[in-house]
Amino acid sequence: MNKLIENQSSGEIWMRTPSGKILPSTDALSALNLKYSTINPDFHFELINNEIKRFDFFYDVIFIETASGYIFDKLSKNENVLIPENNDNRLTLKPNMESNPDYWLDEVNKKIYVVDNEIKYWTSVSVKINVKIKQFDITKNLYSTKFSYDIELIYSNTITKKPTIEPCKISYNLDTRCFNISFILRGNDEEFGLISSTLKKNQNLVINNINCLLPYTTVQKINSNVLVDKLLETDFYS
Amino acid sequence: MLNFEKTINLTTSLHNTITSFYAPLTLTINPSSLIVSKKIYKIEYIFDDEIKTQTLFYKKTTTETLPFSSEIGDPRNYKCNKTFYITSTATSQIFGVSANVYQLGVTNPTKIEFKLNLISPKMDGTGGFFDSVQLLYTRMFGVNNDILYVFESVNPNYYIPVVVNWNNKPVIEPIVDLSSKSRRAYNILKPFQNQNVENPYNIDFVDKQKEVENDPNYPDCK
Repeated sequence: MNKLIENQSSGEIWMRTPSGKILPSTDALSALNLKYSTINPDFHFELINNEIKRFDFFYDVIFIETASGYIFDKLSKNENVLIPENNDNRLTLKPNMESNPDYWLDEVNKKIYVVDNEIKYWTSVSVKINVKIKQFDITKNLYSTKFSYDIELIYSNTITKKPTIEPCKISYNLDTRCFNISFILRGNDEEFGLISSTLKKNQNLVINNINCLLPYTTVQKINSNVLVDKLLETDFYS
Repeated sequence: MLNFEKTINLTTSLHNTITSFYAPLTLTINPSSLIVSKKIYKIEYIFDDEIKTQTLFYKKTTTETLPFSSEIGDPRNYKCNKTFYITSTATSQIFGVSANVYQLGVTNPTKIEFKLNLISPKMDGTGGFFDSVQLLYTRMFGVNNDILYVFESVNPNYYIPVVVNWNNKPVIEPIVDLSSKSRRAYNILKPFQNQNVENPYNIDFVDKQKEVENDPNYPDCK
């Protein structure tokens, strides 16, 4: 058994509030929890019942992931209480439970890039995968999808079951200003395959190339189709 | 570094066969069960990139023309090891191997030729080497957009770092045509072969002939 899996156990998040008090996150983040009580009761239930799978902080932005979805929310301090800066819905649902986001923090420009993938449809000779990239501008507290594209793989031999997709991993090359987004796509026998996209970052994102390694089949073509293409928030402001 | 191992017996029935194995493969050729009519004085193992020779290392006489495998100097008592790596971008590669068996009193050697079809191992899934492999981490770096992939395997548990450069593929935007190269493996299915470039043929081959020649207990063995 994998040692990492073997060692997993449930925990509880505790937080130090701005006033110095140490509280369970359910209390320290009660205002955030309350916000999602009306937006999505299931997600709210998971927040207050210690069903958080993953969390992270980027300056004053909190990331929380549960089984049903995830949020990136900017917090502010109000009379020693942490509250979400706005009440808009920042929840991304995971309807098929097959999507887990990956993110990369651009510390210089205080931006978070979030990437997500899912299978849109599949046939015996093709599969279409959607990849979304969102940008969170920490300074402006703006969070939106900036780029979304479909990758369609056309096989020359038959796939008999729905491919299994695994979460994306994102990385950024400072030298070439390119993102790489890679994920595993499994075939009939749950065998390893790898899809890799490189996106060039300018004022918006542009697909530079898409590559794949699918030893379980022969890929005839990769088609890509851009669905959302918005200008990124400007870098290098103070 | 993962290395598959296989021992095959060198016999005349091996001639003109082709056998599939996973790569990288350390092949051990065992000639001990080789049956020929005369005494063997030399076996040449011919690979694509080198020839290894195992010769008789005791004094031979013209009268000794019968096989005598219990003698320590008989070339059949010594195995030959060779490690093969897939050197192309394909997921399989065929290697030719031949053994020339020289016998006393026989002009032409007996040739035993066979082929090895070496296949990149299946990483995981049904029949895979690992139970599963997960992508843990990526990092893209350098002007050529090299990508470091770090995989974690389960049973056996490894962290497998692999550097891949996808840039060699033709890019026809927005369609990338992969018809001719879709199955190429880079090094991703060959994480075990990362040392190829550094030391492709690091074979621990002991020269028994030289050992015995220098052995003071056998002063006449030349």
